[in-house]
Amino acid sequence: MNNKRGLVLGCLCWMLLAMQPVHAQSLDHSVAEWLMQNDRLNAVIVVLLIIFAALIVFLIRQEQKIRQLQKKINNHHE
Amino acid sequence: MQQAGGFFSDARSFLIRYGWKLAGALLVAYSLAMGLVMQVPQLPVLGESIRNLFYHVPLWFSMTFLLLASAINSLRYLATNRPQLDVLAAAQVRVALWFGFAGLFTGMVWARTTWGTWWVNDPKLLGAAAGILFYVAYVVLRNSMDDLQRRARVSAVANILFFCMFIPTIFIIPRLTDSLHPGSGGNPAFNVYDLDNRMRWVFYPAVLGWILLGIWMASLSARLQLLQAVAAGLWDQDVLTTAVRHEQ
Repeated sequence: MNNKRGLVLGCLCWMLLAMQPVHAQSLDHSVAEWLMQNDRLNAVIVVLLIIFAALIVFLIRQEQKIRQLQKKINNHHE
Repeated sequence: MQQAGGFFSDARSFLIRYGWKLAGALLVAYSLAMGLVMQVPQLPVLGESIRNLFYHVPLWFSMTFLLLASAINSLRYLATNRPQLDVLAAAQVRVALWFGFAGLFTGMVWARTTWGTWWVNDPKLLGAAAGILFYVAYVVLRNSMDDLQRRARVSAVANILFFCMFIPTIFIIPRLTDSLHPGSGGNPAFNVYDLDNRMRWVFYPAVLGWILLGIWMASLSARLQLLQAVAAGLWDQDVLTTAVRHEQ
């Protein structure tokens, strides 16, 4: 379920970013030149956002784990 | 009417509980994307690498903020002897270290582009490396002790000491000597040379977003550690503070 959520978020980001105009100028540095070509730039942004989405999904799962553990402790205490 | 009041009360409570976490996540996502897409000033030497300002600097700001919060929590632990403050301080240091490693990596990429090398023996860079090592030492010191009370007390003192050493190492000494790094040795930073008004619209949200994300990560780590310790019978349930209870 969480993987699906990450995938959906990644696809949404891709769709949004594919519509963004890219203003980057051509660069002196070869890596930056390679990066700033529109398709590659979009790909890098999407990869960054997917990694970030994975981090957020991990944090949300930790929140769920904490809630379950808290309930378990409360039940045990009662 | 009562139902509407209930809805607004629930919405308010939801926003207080999760709103800042959501805001942090959205601000970081916005800065990650906009940092690569927005128009930036075309400056000699810096070129497009100026975009690293949206990643490298917010990570270091968030790290410093977390380390400050951690030192304050260690001080509060020594004053009150509440173990949850020690756990929170340690969690903040761990998250700050991750931010520090990411900040070092982005800084090295920036140095490679502008200075032509991944690393130079510059006071700012050496200070940053030393600062990170202080806190690696803190983690090693903390993990070397089994007695919970002793560990908390010794690591709180070490944390305060390391923070007092960290600030001069990172911010004061590089300003007193020649340095390549912006903001040190008389080099400009955050002014007309490298931060125009368009960039502020991404830079400040990035700083705020990473700080909120850091607070969230540290609070999660601390809460989980506290609950696991209570579940394992290491601590009494009374140790769970409002920081944990409000998540019920």
